[in-house]
Parts: sequence; C-alpha cells; structure tokens
Amino acid sequence: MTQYSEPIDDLDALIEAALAEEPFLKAPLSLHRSVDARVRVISLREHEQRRFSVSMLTLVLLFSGSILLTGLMLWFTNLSLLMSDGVSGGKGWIDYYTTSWAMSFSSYQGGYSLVASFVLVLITFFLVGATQIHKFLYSE
Amino acid sequence: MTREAAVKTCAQVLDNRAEALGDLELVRRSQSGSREAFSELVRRHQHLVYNVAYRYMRDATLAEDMAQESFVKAYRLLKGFRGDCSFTTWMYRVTSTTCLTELNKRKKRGEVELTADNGSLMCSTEHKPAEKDMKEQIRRCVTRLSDRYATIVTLYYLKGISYDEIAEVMSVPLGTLKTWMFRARKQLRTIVEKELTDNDAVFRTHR
Repeated sequence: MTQYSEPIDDLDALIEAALAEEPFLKAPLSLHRSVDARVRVISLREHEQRRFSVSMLTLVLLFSGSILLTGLMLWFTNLSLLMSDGVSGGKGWIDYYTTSWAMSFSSYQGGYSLVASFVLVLITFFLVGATQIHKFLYSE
Repeated sequence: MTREAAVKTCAQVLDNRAEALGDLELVRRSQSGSREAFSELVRRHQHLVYNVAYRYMRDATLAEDMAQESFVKAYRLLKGFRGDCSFTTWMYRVTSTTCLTELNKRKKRGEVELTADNGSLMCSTEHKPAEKDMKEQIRRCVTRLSDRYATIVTLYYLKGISYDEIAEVMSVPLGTLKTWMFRARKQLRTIVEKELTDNDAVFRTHR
C-alpha cells in the first residue's frame, strides 16, 4: 500500500494534508427531523397506493365476476329458451323487448328503461373508478 | 406516576431497546414496515452520510439536501437490501451515487459554482490565498475527478473507512482499488497543479 500513498514532493504532501485534515462535521439537527417527515409521507403514500390497488383489483374482479357469472348462467340454464317456452307468457315478454330493441326507441317506453339501466350501471362503475383515481392522485 | 411520565418512560425504554439492536436487525424491522427502526438507522448514520455528501458537494445546504435524498432513496431501496454487506457500506454506495448523479446533472446544465469563498480567492488583490483557502481549494478539486476516482478518494479520507470497505462499496478487488487509488492521486495532482497555477496567474494580474 505504501508505494501508492507515500508523499513524493511538497505538492503531494500538501494534497495529502488538505484531504487528511478535513474535519469530520456534525450533521445539522434538522436532518433527522426532515428525513423522518419525508419517510412518513412516503409510507403514507405507499399505504394509499396499496389501498388503491386493492380496491381497483376488487372492483375489476367483481365486475368481471358478475359478467362471467351472468354469461355462465345464460349458458347453462339456457335462459332464453326457458323464458320463452318454460314460463307462461315468457315468449311475449322476450318478444316485447326484442321488438322494442329492434324498432326505434320512440315507440316503446320499455326500450328506454332497458338502455337507461345499462347506462346507469356504466355510470356507477365509472364513478366508483373515478373516485378511487381522484383519491389516489390527491391523497397527499 | 402521571400519564405523561409513563408515556415518556415507555418511549425511553423503546429507544434504549432500539439502540441495543444491531444495524441488520433494524434493517430487517424497517423492511417489515417499522418507521421507528428506520429512524434509528438515520440517527446512527446521519453524521457519516452528511460528511460523505459534504465532501462531494462542498456546501452545507446542498450536503444536507443530498443526505436527506440519500436516506429517502435508501428507504425506498431497502427492500432490495439482502445484507451481503454492512448497512454502512451500503449507505456509502447510496450516498455516493446520489451525490454523483446530482453533480453530473449540474455539470450537464452547465451550472458554475460561485461561492463567497471562491470569489474572494479569485479576486483578492490584497492577499495571496491563505493556506486554509488553498486546502479548501484542493478539496474542491476532488469533485473534478472522474466519478469512481472521486468516490474512492472521498471515502478513503473519511474517518474510519478501510481499503477493504471501499473495495466492497465499489464492488472491485483490492488490487484494482489500489491501482485506481494510484491513478486518482495522479489525476488529482494534475488538477491541483493546474488550479494553483491559474490562481497564481490571476493573483499576479490583479497585482
């Protein structure tokens, strides 16, 4: 090691002295406090991020679960057939919505309520999602 | 015993317990989400981190900012700390990287350092630079070394850091570190020589 660190001349000695004699400073009192405060904010942010992720995941799972469940129910129970042939007056009921869907909505009030219910569901999901995103962005 | 006194005693007991714990245990607790454990780590290493940051930045305010930044970075990266080296060694690495990144950003932005010290040193017509100023000037030259050389020189002259530890921080064998150290000293000498010659020329012109 000595062959690398041995002073060669005055300048080397000056450099060595300048670097070796540099005093060891005390950290300012505010440092610890500031770090603690920032760490607190970071951990709160992380907590909110986790909460956001969990709530969004739950929302997506519930939504896809309900869609899947509805699909499966329709598939396995053959609901349209059951309603048209298995229920008294069912065919008429299905016919009523099919016709109202096919025709311009101006003729049948039922068509409006059907579409309105879809819109209502979409708005609900949108609002729940938007609330979570808003909370995530402005939680600090 | 009043409620406040009981709370104070409890806090003191907890503090004493935290003090008795080793760094690695505190790291493990911090990784599990204990902010108090991380706070204790900050309390223990704040002076060292501040000094490393000061030696890179050469300014008290900037050094405090960089020390803060290093601890915050450490908190974020702590989950990835596997305990292969000591927490101190790891903190040196985090602090050095943080400071060098900031210095490189400043160099890219072309920020020129203009401190009161520098000003008086360059423009004084009355006195030759005092020895104290000259030493400070030499210390400033370290930041003009290449990144890895600046790191090893900074760490080497910091109290209580061995070559082995620096080699661990830099993730290089001891032999390589010694070669780097030799080259760093050579490079530093060239920079200091140029700096002192320039200053001498300025001094003569102003006279």
